[in-house]
Amino acid sequence: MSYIGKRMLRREDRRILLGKSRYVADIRLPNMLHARILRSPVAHARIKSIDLSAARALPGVAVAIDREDVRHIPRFGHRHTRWPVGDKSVFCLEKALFVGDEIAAVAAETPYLARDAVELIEVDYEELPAVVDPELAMQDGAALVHDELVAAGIIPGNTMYTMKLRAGDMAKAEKEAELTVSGRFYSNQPVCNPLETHGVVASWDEINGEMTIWTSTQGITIVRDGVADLLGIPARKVHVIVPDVGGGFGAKVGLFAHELITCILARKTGRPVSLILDRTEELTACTSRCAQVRYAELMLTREGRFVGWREKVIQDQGAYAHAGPSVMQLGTELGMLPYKIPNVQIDGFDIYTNKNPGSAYRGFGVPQAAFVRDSLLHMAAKKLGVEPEYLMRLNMVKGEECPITLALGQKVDSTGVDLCLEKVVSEAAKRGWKKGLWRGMGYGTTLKHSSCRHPRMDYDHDTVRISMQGDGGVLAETAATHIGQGNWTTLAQIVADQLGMDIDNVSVTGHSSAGPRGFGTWGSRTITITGNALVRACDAVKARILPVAAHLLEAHADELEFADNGVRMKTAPTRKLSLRELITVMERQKGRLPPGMEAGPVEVVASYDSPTTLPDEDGVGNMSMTYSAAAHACWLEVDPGTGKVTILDYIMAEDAGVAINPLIVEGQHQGAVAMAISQVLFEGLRYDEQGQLLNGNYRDYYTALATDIPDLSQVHDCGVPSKTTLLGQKGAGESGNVPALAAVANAIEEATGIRFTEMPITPEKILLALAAREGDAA
Amino acid sequence: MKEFEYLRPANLEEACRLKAQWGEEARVLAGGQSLLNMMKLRFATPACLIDLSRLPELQQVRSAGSAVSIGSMLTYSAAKSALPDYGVVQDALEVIADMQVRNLGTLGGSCCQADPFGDMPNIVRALGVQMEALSSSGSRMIAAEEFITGPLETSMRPDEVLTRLHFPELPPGSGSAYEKFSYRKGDYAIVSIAAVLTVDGDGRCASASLVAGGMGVGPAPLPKTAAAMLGQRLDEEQLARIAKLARGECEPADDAVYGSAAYKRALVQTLTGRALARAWSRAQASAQAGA
Repeated sequence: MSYIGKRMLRREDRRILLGKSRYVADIRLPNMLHARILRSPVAHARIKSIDLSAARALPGVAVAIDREDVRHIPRFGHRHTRWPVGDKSVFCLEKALFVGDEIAAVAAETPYLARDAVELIEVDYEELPAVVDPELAMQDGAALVHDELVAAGIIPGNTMYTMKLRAGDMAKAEKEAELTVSGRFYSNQPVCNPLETHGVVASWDEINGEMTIWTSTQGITIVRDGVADLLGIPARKVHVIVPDVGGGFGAKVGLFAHELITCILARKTGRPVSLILDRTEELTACTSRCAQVRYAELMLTREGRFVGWREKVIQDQGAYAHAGPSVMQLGTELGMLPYKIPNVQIDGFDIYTNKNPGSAYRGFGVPQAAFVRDSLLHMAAKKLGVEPEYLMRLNMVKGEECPITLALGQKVDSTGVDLCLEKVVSEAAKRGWKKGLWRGMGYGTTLKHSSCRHPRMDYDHDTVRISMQGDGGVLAETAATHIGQGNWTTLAQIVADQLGMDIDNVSVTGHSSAGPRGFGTWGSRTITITGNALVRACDAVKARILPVAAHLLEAHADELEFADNGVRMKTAPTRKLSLRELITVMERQKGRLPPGMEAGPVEVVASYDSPTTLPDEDGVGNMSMTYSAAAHACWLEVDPGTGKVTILDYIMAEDAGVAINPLIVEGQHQGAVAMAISQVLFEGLRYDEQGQLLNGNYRDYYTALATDIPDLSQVHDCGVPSKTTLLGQKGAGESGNVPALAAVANAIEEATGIRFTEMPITPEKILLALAAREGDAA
Repeated sequence: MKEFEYLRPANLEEACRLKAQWGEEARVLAGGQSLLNMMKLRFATPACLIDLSRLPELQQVRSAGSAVSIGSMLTYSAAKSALPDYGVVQDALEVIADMQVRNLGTLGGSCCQADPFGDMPNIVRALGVQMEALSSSGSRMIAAEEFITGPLETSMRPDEVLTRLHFPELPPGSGSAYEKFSYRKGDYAIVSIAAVLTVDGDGRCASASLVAGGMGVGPAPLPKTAAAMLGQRLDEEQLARIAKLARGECEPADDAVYGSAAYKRALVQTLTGRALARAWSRAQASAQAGA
């Protein structure tokens, strides 16, 4: 064991830092066309007519397509709803459902011509009342977003999914409660903002009927299966290749209309087609974090023990389902952790509106729930006259109690969350943070699931392939594309250790459907599920090689070990065969093999499916096999003249189990915290009452800049090994995104005396609230 | 972007000829830091760009006494040493965008862009800079208050190019300052305040000019507030009173993204107080140095 736990530089980085990485937009195929999508400029409208003639007549335009070209293609997007039909068609068929919805597309000789042509398309829209506010949209008589799904009896109205979570006995909780704190909270709608926007190149081989797609995705197999199914091509003839990906964060999980559109254009023209979305399209139409309104109540005893949680969750789903229903359910259910709350009553309503759809985004719903929970915890602490950390300590799951099963069936196999809390509390004291005029500090905590069995999807697996090469090296193929997380480095560390190899002899990839039929990378699944599959694959490789090594070394298999790029006697390390020799024998020298053994390469495919269960109708189930943990403390200052928040200092402690590569684990945490600070102080799509997007470019859509992020260089490691994963590892990419939201909001309350419940907490909100308080006082 | 012609005249004469020839179809390319972004979004679709950014005569700095005139293509970075005594300019150079933009963006370009949230329009207005425009038929001076006629609009004629900005003489006892609030470092202003004043021998305010940016229309002077400063010693109490006056005088537009009118009014109060305090202390320092 020499690589696990080692702070290795990411092997993916060099080419990126030197500008040698290649993204979809860098792909130039001979004779390639450039495509552009016409998107709806209105939020909700019946499409009376589309006239492509002027676009088609423009010299240099190869093809222009609209709904008439796709009517025969089934609707899609029901992976997370399990409805008999999807809610999305390739192009809008009858109605446009949000600003950015796909109406038509052209392919032309240059990207500029494609844009010119799109401007020539004439569409006659009959505008309909825009459904913008989810709380109004769920009322009777509201205009319907998906009237066709209502007419088909699939949904009752704009409420497209209803969730019920029940545990314990609320009557008992009410009897025991000596203090109830409550509030209406709003979690905003940021987008993932990958540096590289979505993009696709598609090439159609008419002779063989094969489609090759280069796409910026986190989910190779989802794209392959989706394109195959919808375009009527056998899956074996759809090839998905993923070049370097400039960030995903959840926005590149799933099948998108633009991927289908590019394939259709390529098939129609017989020429390769490139479609690179611009930043406005990325902001407008490529999914967002699910915005939510949450009416929440936390019930406590006088001594501060949590006895009950009641909540009504209203999720602003936007125009299409994507992963939204799962985000609401998982986020709410797992977002309650790390707190032990015996009695729970939560009702959730996922509401269609005419906006950018909500879907996966780093944290998958847990941050929204935790923002509310840790805000209420802080409010309760103030009412009880105790420190927030006292309430956290009193109610949180502790490592020594694990494994423990909580009220909704969530089994926590191990945790360091209590250690994380103590670390940040003591570190804050050590750094001398003090509450002062316009200064305050706040805490936040989390358990974040490492992969999970999504409701309505009874699987949580991944598949890898390991091929021992004739030169003694090893190729480990996965479906985990590298989207900037350093996963190929981390996974190589695992493989090198399992096989006793020098890491320079190990390659890990995950960029093509020619690889194993794994899933992809999201939801902290790569290190846990893919990692476990790799451990299994390595075990199988060893089981194949060991009898051969025992035979050649004239030893018993249990006297041998994999080390030093070979197999050797534990007691006499010089009695050794290199992997190169062993593989050569196994592939080409049958005569030296044990009697009866056939010659052949050592190539293994292995899968891993987590030992988890689906929730029952009360939401009770154990959907995740392990949880990473974190606690944060934020110290900030508010300028009473402008409302501007300056974060003075920030402390992070985390439990990522056995950190395979602590450098990468820390980097993931730092990035996730920056993203959360950006959400709580700056970000979010803003729509007006007509459903027009108000901030569809980077002048108007604010993300935190480097100058807004405090020094995050130190991440305290409070890792406690998972008892479920094969190496004790836990996810690392998401836990940092959770605690920061409430930690900042809590610190702002300490600094100003005002509780802000709606993100983003902007200077405007702060200054106007301060002015209102002054006015009240006067 | 849409396809466009790119022309780079060798001298001002040719520049004027091209401008006359292309008229409104052409835009002058200075630093390109605003215009190119608008072209990428197709908000601006000029048929022709006339690149004047490399004409040496439009980079020149000339001084006469304490007055300074600069070529319209002088970049922000170069302006730092060219305009050392104009506190309002020096302050602005610290808060305009980032270093990359300041290395390319120009003072003249910013004035011609006339972005209602831009910085330079407020500053030339507060200082009373004279803008020199040239066409084939000759040159003319345009007073700063007549230069910007609305959001993204100036009084320049289609055949004219802006050649020079004439900054006024600074008598002893002059002080000026710029305060800007943006959500993030380097962004366009939510609200900004340019303050220019002089202090007399008695230590009282002898002249004052106050301009608010970010109100939604372009540089918005606050003449009543400025008048209320005359004859006053700007101590803390006076500053608070005047800042409150500014809050009452300004007329910001409500904006869903850049802030409500109520918020902007509050910012005008805060920033006026801060800008005047700094301008006042600079004026006093200047008076002492002159005495």
